[in-house]
Amino acid sequence: MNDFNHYLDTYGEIGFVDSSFYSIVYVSGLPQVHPSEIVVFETGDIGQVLTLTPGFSEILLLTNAQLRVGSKVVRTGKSFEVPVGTELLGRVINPLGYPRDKGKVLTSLKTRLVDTDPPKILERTQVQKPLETGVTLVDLVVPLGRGQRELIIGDRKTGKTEFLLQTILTQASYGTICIYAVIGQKQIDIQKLTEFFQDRKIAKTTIIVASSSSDPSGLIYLTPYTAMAIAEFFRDQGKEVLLILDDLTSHARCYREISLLAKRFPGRSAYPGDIFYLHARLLERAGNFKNGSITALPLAESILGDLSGFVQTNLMAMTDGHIFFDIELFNQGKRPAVNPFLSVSRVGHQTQSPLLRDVSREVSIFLVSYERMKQFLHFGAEVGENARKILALGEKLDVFFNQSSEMIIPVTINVVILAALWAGIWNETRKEDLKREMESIILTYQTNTNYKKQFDDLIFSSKLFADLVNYLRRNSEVVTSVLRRGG
Amino acid sequence: MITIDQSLIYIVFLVLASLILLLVGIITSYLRLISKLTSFKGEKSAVDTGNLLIQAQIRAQKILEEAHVKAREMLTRNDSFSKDLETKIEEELAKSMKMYVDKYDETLEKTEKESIKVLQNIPSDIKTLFLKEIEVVRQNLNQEVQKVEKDARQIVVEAYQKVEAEVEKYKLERIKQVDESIILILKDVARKVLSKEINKEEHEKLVLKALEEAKRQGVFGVKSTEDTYVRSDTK
Amino acid sequence: MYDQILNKLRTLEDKEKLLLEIEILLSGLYEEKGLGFNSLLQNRIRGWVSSYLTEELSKPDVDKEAFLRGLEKELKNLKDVYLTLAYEPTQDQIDTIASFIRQSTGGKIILNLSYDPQLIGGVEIIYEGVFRDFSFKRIFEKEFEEDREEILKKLAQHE
Repeated sequence: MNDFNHYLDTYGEIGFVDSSFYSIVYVSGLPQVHPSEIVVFETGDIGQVLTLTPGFSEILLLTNAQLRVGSKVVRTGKSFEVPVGTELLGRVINPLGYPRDKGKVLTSLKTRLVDTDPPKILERTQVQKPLETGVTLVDLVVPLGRGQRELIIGDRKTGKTEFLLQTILTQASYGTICIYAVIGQKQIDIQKLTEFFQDRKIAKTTIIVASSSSDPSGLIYLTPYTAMAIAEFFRDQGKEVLLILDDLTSHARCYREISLLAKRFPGRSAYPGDIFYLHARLLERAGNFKNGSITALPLAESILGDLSGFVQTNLMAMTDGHIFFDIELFNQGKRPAVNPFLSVSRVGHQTQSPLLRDVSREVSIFLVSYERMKQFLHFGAEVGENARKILALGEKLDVFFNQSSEMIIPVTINVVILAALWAGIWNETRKEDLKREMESIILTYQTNTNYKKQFDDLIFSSKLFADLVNYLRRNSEVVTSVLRRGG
Repeated sequence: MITIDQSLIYIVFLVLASLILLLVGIITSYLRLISKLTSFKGEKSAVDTGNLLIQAQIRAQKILEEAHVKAREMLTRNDSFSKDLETKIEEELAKSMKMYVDKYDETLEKTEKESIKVLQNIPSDIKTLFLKEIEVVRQNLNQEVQKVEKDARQIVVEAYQKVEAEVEKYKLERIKQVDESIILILKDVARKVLSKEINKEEHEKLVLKALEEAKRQGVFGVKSTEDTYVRSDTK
Repeated sequence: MYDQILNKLRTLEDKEKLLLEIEILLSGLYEEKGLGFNSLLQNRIRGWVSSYLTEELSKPDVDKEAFLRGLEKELKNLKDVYLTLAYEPTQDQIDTIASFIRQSTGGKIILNLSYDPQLIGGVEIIYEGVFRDFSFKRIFEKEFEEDREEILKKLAQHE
């Protein structure tokens, strides 16, 4: 930002503050100002033009300022731009590009417009590569692809952020650039996130764009757009980017506040009429492109599991699927508390290999029948042989899917363990030992290269899940040898 | 400059006082050490000669006792001996006792002489040792004093240099500040002079010219029936 | 019909004073059975205003209140022209400036003058959100910064 006098000389236009109303300032003058243009006040504060009327313009303040009536305002002639560059990696910045951590101020970087049109159809390609999250349930039942937009929705405190952090850890090992946008959250949460990235040594591939709840509404409103602009910069370099927006319901609330202050007409739930456009123009900029990709994982908070809220249904309409974190399952002790029946991934399955697709179909079908069997238990009815088998396998499957927020499990070993489970290797094992044995296999896979190669080849050579299960049924020592070594 | 000299004198005084204290301390400790040394040595020699005498006494006593025992044995065995024999034996006993006593005296004298000799040597031994130690102490002391002198001088020189450097820096900064304020004053004066230069008529002319220019640039808008702004390019 | 009085106004102070006088008149309009108005007109209003108003109000078919309210509205609609000058102009000079601007803009303006000696000469104009600097301030600053080095050198030489 150049200084006030420079803009005064360049444009020769001046405005005066008539009145201010919380974050909205009414300015007279500035005859040729454009909508969404950035204006600079005498005091150095920055604002964005919201509305133009013949007598005055409405300006949304982007900095915490107490403006005096009669202060001078000048145009900058530009829409909002944010500095981008590889120097941003490992930093925590606010939406204006100023550092929030104790690093040096970023200067002499190229700037990029924050609110641009989404790319057209010809630049896009189909979602082809899978995005591994390291979370068993998601990778097998609701798989994600690179360039997909998947909504993470659930009540508060159901483990959404933990799931996202697991995803970031997995993706950071593949070299994906992760951009985490914290929209209007507590400052202590921003601090915890920064420490998390530093402790896990992945700060070099992550950027945090953060606005705390005490920042002005205009700043909170800009946060996801800044994050998207930075993501687009890295995408243009051909990199794969993972963009996380935490969370869009607070963003919608903040925009509602701004609109109501600007005396826009309230619509459903007092949200303004352009609340869909607010999020759609943001999420449409993500996707899989000929050169690079941006995978967007926006978060939404539901109230008491109500998926039919206004903002929630809006977001579900503009994303390629959603992962639903159920408070009921969370209370039953399932971690992650993903409801596999209500979660869907519309473009994730096309990225999977035939084996994985088979696996996910088998598992989904089994989960449905398991659920039905559990209903029978409620009646206290006598269960037949088949039902008992399904229940036993279902219980073991529950143990398999239960995963702590510290663990990251590669997909390959997940498939092997699942096939082993299907093959009946653990039919005689108790539930308590099951988890331990599975974890020992995972550990062996991660540490012993011979076993890793063996399992990888096994997966690569199997085309159908049934084949893999049969193979393991006949050659169960492939898995049990690992157990005997480790267990 | 006065304040700097004073501080310098204070520093030098401090260093000298500490030096003197150090010297005094070293000397007293060494003297104490040496006195301890002499007393210790004297004790040892006294103990040695005493030891010798005691040992001689013990040996002599042993010999006497043995003689006595032997004599009694002989006497008890030979009861039938006549009195002459008894007297002879007594004489012989007395003679042997005398012999022993003489021998005892001799050894006593000898040991006395030896101890006297040793005692006599001790002072000279001690004296040479003492002198040697004193030499060493004196040398060490000299070295220490020199070193301390050198260090003190170094410290003083360094302190002075540092202070000088700070003064230089301060001078430069002040000069820069003064220059800046001079420039500001000059600016102000120039501005006031210039504004005085222009009298009221000229001011008015300037203002009107500016207004004409503004009108030409279209600041005041083109007079038309529609209320639109038609502006030419800026500047 | 208000042009006569509006053209006599030059600066913001004039406008404020006139608004105050109209206020006084309006409040006294219905006092003392309409007789208070005339006494106010004679005693509390400035001479030239008073004579103008008496003349206008004595015309037939003129409603006092409507006329005064109309005048008030016109006054409030006058556009501000902010001029920052480097000297204190005389009344005549203010007149000249005001009439010139009135000529250029079509009339409905009022001057808002301020004094800033930093400008040395010339004027800064702000009108309808447009800002023009026709003063020596910038030029002086620029020239002075360029000469700063030379001045410093000269100072060093003199030491």
